[in-house]
Amino acid sequence: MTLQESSRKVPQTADDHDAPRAAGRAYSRVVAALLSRSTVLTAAALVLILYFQQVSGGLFLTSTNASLLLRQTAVVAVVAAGMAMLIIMGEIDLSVGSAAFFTGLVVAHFQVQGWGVVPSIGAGVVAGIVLGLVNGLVITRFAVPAFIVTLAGFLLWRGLGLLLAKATPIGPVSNDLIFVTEGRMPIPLVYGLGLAVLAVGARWAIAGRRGAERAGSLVALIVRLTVSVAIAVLVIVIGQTPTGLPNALLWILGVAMVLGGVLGRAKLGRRIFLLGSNAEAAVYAGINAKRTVLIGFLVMGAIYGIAGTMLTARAGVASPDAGNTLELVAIAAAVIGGTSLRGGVGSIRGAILGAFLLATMDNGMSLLGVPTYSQNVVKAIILVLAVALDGYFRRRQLAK
Amino acid sequence: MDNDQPVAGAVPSVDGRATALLVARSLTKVYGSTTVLNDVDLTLHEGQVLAVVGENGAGKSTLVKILSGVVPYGEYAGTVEVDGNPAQFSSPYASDTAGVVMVPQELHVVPHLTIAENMFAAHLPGRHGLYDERAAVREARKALETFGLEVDPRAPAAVLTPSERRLIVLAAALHRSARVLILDEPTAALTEAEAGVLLDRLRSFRKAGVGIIYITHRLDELKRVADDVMVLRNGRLVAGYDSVPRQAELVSAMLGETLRSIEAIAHVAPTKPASGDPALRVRNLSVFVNDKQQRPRVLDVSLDVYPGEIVGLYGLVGAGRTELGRALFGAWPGPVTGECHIGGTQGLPKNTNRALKRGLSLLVEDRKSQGVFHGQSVSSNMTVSMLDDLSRMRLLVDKPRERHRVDEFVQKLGVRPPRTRIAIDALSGGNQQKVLLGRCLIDDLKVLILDEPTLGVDVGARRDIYQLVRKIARELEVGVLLISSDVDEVLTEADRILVMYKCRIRGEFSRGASAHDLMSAATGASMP
Ligand SMILES: Nc1ncnc2c1ncn2[C@@H]1O[C@H](COP(=O)(O)OP(=O)(O)OP(=O)(O)O)[C@@H](O)[C@H]1O
Ligand SMILES: [Mg+2]
Repeated sequence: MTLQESSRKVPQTADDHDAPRAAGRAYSRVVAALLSRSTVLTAAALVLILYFQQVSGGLFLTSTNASLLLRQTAVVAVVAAGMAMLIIMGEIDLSVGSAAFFTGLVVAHFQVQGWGVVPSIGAGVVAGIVLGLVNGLVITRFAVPAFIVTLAGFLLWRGLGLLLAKATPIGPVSNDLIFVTEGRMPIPLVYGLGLAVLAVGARWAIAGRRGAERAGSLVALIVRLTVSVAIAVLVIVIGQTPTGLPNALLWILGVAMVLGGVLGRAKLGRRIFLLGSNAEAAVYAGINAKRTVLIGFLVMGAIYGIAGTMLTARAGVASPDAGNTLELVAIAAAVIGGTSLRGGVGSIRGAILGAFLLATMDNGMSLLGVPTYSQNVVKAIILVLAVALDGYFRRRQLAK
Repeated sequence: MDNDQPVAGAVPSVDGRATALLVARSLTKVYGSTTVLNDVDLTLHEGQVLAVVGENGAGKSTLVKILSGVVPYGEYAGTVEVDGNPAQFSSPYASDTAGVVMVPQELHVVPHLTIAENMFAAHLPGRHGLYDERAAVREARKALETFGLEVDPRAPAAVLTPSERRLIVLAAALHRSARVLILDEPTAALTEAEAGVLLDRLRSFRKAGVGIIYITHRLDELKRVADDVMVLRNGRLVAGYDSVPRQAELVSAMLGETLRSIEAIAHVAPTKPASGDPALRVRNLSVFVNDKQQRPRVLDVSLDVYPGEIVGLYGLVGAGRTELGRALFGAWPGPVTGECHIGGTQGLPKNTNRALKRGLSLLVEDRKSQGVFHGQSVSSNMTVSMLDDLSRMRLLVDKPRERHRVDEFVQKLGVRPPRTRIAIDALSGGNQQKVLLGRCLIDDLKVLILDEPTLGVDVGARRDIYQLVRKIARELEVGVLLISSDVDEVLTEADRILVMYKCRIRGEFSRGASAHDLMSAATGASMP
C-alpha cells in the first residue's frame, strides 16, 4: 500500500471538514471535559464548601476562614506537588515529613541566631537539597528502592533533628518569617497576581484556539476568558478585604508554576513521565534514568526546604512534631488528584486540588466539631473512592 | 452437527466435518467512537485450522482477545459459544480453564520469575495448594524439548531474548491440553526452522481434534497449515475461504484492491557496493552474560557496515544476534570486549544515550517491554530519543517543532490512525512498530540497527518500511544492520548477509545466495 492510499483511507484532518462528525466530536469533548478529573475534583470541592457553609451556618465561607483554609493547605499542597512528580516518575518519598521537620529546624535555628529571613530560608533550602541529594544518591548508586531509602530517611531525619534540638521546640522565630506565609498579601502583589491570572488565562484561551481541536473553539475561548477574568476579579476583591489573601497562596502558586512547567514543558518532565511509564524502555530510548531520578530528588530536596520554612513560619517555632504524617497526606492528595502509583500518570494541578479537597474537609469538619477520628474515617473513604475512580479514568483515557 | 444453525457468512461450515467447537456470532467491539470489530461471525470445528489474516489494525487481535476473555464478557457485543454452550469469559484464566488457550501477540513474561514459573504461570503444578517446583521443572523440560531449546527452566526468564521468550510461551501452550488453541502471530520472530517445528506440532494437534485459530502476516505459511482462511479488513469480515487461495487473491482481499499483484509487493532493489570508510566497524567483539559463569553470547565477531549499505544478520533464535545489537548500542548489562568504530569515533558506547549521540540507534526486538511507553501519547513515544534536537534553550521541549516532526513521520511511515495525541496502546501492533521505527530516525543518524523490524507488520506496510529503510540508507548514507529471522527479508532487502550460529559469524553471503545456503549456515550444517 502506498502512502497516498493509506492517507486516503483514513483522512488526516477530514474531521474538520466533516460537519456532523465535528459536532459529534465537540459534544463528546464537552462530555469528556465535564467528566475530567479536575472538573470532578473542583465540583466535589464546591459541593463540600457549599455543604459546610450551609451546615456551619455561614461560618465556613467567611474571609477569615478562607484565609485559614489557604494557610492550612499550603504545606500539603507544596509537598503533594513534589510527591506527584516523584510518583509519576515511578519513585516515592516517605521521608518528606521528617525532612521538612529537619529543614524547618534549620530555619528556626538560624532565626534564633539572629539571621535575616532570606538567609534563614536559604539555609533551609540548602539543607533540604542536601537531604534530597543523599536520598537520590543512595537510590541511584546503590540501586536501593526509593521506598526503602526514604523509609530510612523517615526515621533518620526526624531522629537526627530531635537529637540536635534535644527534642524541644526551637524558636520563637521573627515576625518577618511568620509573615512569609501567614501574613496578608501586600496590595501591589494582589494586583500583580490578578494581572498574572489574566495573562495566564489569555494564553490558555488562545492556546485552545490555536490547538489542533478547533471545533467549538469560539465557545471555549469565551468560556476560558470569562473564567480567567472572574478569577482575576475575585483575587483583587478578596485581596482588598480586611483579612485579604495570605502569602501562603504565593508559595503554592510558585511551586505549582515551576513544577507544572517542568512536567508539562521541559525535557526533564517528558522524561519523568516516560521513565515512570516503562523504565526498561526508557533505557533503550536513551533516557539517563539515574540522572533523571537524581534530579527529581534534588528538586524534592528544595521542596523539603520550602515546606520546612512554611511549617516553622506557620507555627512560629520548629516544634518536634512538625510535619508528622505529612508524607502520607501528600501521597493521598497526589493520588486523589489522579497520580497513579503505577507511574507515568498524574499532574501537579491534580495534586494541589487533592490537597485542597483534603484540607477543605479537615477545616469544614473541624468547624462542625467532628472529632479527628471520624474525620479520618471520612478521608479514608474519599481516598479509596478516588483510587477506584482512577481505574475508571485510565480506561477512558485509553479508549479516547 | 451444528450445520443447521444459521451461521452467516464467515467460514463456510463444511458438511461432514466434526462438531463445531467454537461459534461466535456478530462480534462487535467499539473503542471510544471507533468500531474496531464489526459484526464478525466465526465457526471453528474440531481438527480445523482457521487462519485469520488482514492488515495491521484490521481487528485480528481484537477478535481473538474476545474469544479468549482478554476483552471480558460485557465489553463487546455478540455471542460466543463453546461446545454449544454460551461462553462468557471474564478473563483469560476463565477461557483457559474452559480449554480455550491463547498465546497473545504481545507476550507478558515476568523477567525475575523462573522460566518454569513463567511457562505455567496460572497453572503451576502443586499438591495441597503448595507449589511443586520439581514437577514444574520436569514439565517445563518436557515442553521445552519441542523446540530443542537448551535453557534451564530454573533460570530467571530475564536471560531469554524476546524470541526465546516466545518459544517458551508457545511450548507451554502446546504442552497444555487445549481444545481450542489460538495463536496470535506466533512465528513473527521465529526463523524457518522453529516455525517449521511449530507448524509440524500444529498438524499433529489437528489430527488430535484440536481446533486452531492462527493469525499471521506470513502468507506463505498458510499453505502449510491452514484449512480455512478468513480475511478481516477495517474490522469487517471481507472474505472467507474453505481452502487456501492464491496469495495474490488474499492480498487483494486484505488491502481491498484488485490490481495488486504479489510481484509488486516482493520487489527487489538493486544492491549497493560497499565503499568508503565503514559507518560501523566491529573487531573481535565478545559479549558475556553478567553472572558467575560469564557464559558468552557473542564470540569474536568482526564486521563492517558501510554507509548506505544494508547488511542482513540472519540466524536462529539464540544465535546471539540480539545480544550483538544490544552491546553495540550500549545496552548490554554484562561484560563486552572488543573494538568498535561508529562513523569514525572509536570505542563501544557506554550507554544508550552515548550511542544515540554518536549517531547509532537501535530498533528493539521486544516491543512491549523494551519499546512502548504504555499510556503515553504516540507523539511522546516517537520523539523520546530526539528530545535534545527538539528542545529550546536546551531545557524545554519545542512543541511546535515536535508536532511538525511527528506529523511528518506519521505521514512517512503510514501510521494509522494518524492521530498523534492518543495513547500508543490504542494502535495495533504493527502500527506501534512504525512509531518505534520513527523513534530511531534521530538527526545525524549514521548507523541503524534494526532487530526484527517487520515483526507483526502487514504485507503492505512491510513494503513501506523496506522502502523507507532503503531510502534512509541510500539518501542519508546510513549503514543499516538488519537483524532478521525471515530468510526472504534478508534475501530481498540486504546487500550483504552475515549468518550467525552459536555466538559466532559463520558465513557471509551476497544477495544472490539461496535460502538453503543461509539455512544450512544458520544451523551449523555447513560448518568448515
Ligand atoms: N485499547 C484500545 N483503544 C482504542 N483502540 C484500540 C485499542 N486496542 C486496539 N485498538 C484499535 O483497534 C484496531 C484493531 O486493532 P488490532 O490490535 O485488533 O489489530 P490487528 O489486526 O491485530 O493488527 P496487527 O496486525 O497490527 O497486530 C486498531 O485500529 C487499533 O488502533
Ligand atoms: Mg494484532
